[in-house]
This record gives sequence, C-alpha cells and structure tokens, in this order.
Amino acid sequence: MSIWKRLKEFGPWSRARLERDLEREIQNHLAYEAQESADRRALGNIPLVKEDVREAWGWARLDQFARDIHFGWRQVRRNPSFSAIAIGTFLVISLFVFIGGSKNPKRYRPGRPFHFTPVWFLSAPEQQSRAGLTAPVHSTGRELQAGSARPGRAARPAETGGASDRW
Amino acid sequence: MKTSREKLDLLRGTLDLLILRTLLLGPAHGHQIAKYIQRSTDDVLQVEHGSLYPALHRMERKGWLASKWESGEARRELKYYRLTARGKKQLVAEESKWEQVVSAIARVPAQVES
Repeated sequence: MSIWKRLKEFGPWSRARLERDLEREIQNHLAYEAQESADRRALGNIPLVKEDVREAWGWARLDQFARDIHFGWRQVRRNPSFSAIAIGTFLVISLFVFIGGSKNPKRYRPGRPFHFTPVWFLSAPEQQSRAGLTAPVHSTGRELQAGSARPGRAARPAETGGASDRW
Repeated sequence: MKTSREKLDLLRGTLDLLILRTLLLGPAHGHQIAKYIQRSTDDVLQVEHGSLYPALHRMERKGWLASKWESGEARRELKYYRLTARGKKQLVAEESKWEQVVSAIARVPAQVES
C-alpha cells in the first residue's frame, strides 16, 4: 500500500468513517452471536474492544497529546499572570541561548586577544617522538604544536599536558 | 538475547499467525475468522473477540490485510478481510518464528510421572 493510500485510508481525517465502520463491524458480529447463542458476553466489553481497536489505529498518543495541550491551555487561561511569567522566562532564556550559542564558541581569556589560540604541551614528549611525530626544532621539546587548539590531531589525548594560558 | 519487545511480539504473533493462516483460504469477516479458528482446533483455541478486532485492525494498518465491505449473508454488509502480498510474506516469517518456539519448547526436558 502506497504512503498516499495509507494516509487517505488511515489519516486522522478518516477517523469518523473508521469509527462508523468499527461500529458496523461490531454490530454485525453481535448479530451473528445473537443468532448462534443469544449470548452477547462472547464479545466481551464492547467499549473496551473499541478502545483496543482505536489503540491499534495508533491515535492513542495523538489523543493524549491533544488532551495535554487542552489541559495546558486551560491552566494558562485560569492563571494568566503566572503563565506570563513562566512563558516570559522561558522565552528570555531561549533568546539568550539562541544569541550565545554557536558551533565554534570562543572562550574569553583575560589579557589575550579574542582570537588567541592556546599552545598545547605534551606531558611525555619522548613518546611523541617515538610515534614518529616530531616537535618543532626551535622548541624546548615540551610544546606539541603552537597554533593548534586540538591536541588530538597530532597526539593522543592521554599524552598531552593541556593548554597554557600563562605562556 | 531476546528483548522484552520481541517476546511480546512473539505472544502477539501467535494470534497473527492464526489469522494469517485462516485468511490463506480466502477472504473472511471477523466472525468467520473466529469461528474457523475455533472449529479447526476442535474448540481448543477460542479467539477472544476482544483481541480479534484490535488484531485485525492492527494487521490491516501494517498492510498485511486489506478489507472491503461486501454484502454477505442475509443482505448484510460485512467487512471482509483478505491477505495481501505483504501478509503472505509475514505469514512465512511468523511460521518460521513459531517453528523456533516449538523446537525450543521441545528442547526443554520434561519428566512427568504418571
């Protein structure tokens, strides 16, 4: 069955038709049961059967969500000032997160220019040289790579000594 | 290691398997399906109708069954379910799962003193 057909057949807009069909289907079943044994109990609790079928349609969550929204809206209407404070706080925090958040956040380092890149050091430079990665010739041997903010590119994180702000 | 979801599916799959097998014979409405299962198992398995209709609707939604309103006996409009190609594939899968369960049960040693 194509997605379009599925949507057409089982979408929320076809709910009224599905409810009618379910009612008819159950009434037919009851008529058969009545013919055979005049015992309606065989079908069990009819509203429960309908409820289970509705759950099989997958709208139980949608219904719950709609009820939650309805309840929330009622609470807002009942106590508008409190709701305004809560919503306002949420919006202000969201705004700050939106303004402040970026993919590459810069950390402000006192006394340094904003674009300052820290120098990374090795805790064990001899391990680094064994691995075939050499430290800069003019260095003291303990600095890994000036200008690289990511030690993992040149050395394993366990071998790094961290960045220094006091260089 | 089977997850709890898989275990639940296995239990539910038993009813699905019965319905799929019944519909392999041809289209049938809910009451016919229930009666067929009951009769063919000599009343050993009685499908609780409260489980039958949710299962039928669930399987229809999954695309294993297709349904159509047709006039049946006593000029009554009845909802007939039939197996789809997807349903036939599912039947093969359910049967293989069922065989696994049967063989697993058979492997458990049983000592019954009479």
